[in-house]
Amino acid sequence: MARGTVAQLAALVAGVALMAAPAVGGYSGDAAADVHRTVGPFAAAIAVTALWPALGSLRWANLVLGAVLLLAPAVVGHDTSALVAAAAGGAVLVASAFVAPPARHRTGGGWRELVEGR
Amino acid sequence: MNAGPRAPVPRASHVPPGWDYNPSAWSQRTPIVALALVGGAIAIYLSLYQLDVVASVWEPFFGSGSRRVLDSPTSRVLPVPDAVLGAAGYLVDAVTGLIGGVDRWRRMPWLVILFGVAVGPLGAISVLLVVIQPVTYDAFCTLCLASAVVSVLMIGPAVDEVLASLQHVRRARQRNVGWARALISGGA
Repeated sequence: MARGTVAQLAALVAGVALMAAPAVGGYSGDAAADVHRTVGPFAAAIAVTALWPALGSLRWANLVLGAVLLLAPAVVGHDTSALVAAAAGGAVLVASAFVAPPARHRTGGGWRELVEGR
Repeated sequence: MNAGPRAPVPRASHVPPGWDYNPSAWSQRTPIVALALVGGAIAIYLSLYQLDVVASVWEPFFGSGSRRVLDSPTSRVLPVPDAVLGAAGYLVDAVTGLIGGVDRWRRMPWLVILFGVAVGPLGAISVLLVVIQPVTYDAFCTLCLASAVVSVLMIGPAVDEVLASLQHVRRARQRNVGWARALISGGA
């Protein structure tokens, strides 16, 4: 399996894990839980969608979501479990953004073609 | 005179220029339509609960989570329950996914764009609802999550067809074809 595919699948797992982390880690009522339950579904959806040839660049949105996770402990309180989830999830999302999904197909220049044209 | 074996007459290619596959091929669209039908079935079932046609809703994992989500004020913020809107959205997805032939990316750009508009926002709204469930009501709903997964899986294959149509409209515009003609007939 190509590295880019593995990276997006890792981001998908991270997103789903973030959704479950507040219940598993026992911080469901905290503000950190809201952050993780908000970032998780979007990160998972972006990871799946970025696997398609025309939408690979969407993975960069997970760079932003990863940064939000990593910076959130400075803004809202995180207990140890939440801190671990934020650090692990944030690291995976940030890293996944830098590994492009494999270019399995040509799409006529992609979205750039619409902007630049020829 | 024997001219030898004849070269096959090339058929008009339905693959967009610069592409190596046809995003309007049935092999690309059938899975989307199938997903839309699955999502529609889920949404219709949830609608029946929200419309009080059935008394309970199937929930294998989250206890009373489904009822809390489906009976929440958010699900009734519009005149009709949100699952009914979801079912309508999936129906639009399925119908717009079925109409047109394998060259619809250039023959019916308007339809392909409508298809993308139906699929993309529906997926985004589904993800938003997945966020609202636990953040606002501290609850999850299994079938709502399943519906969201279906919606998200439809986005990728739908959007690549939209891209092919938009590229075609752009080429038509470069040939000085008017917007309306380019969108409606692809400038043919």
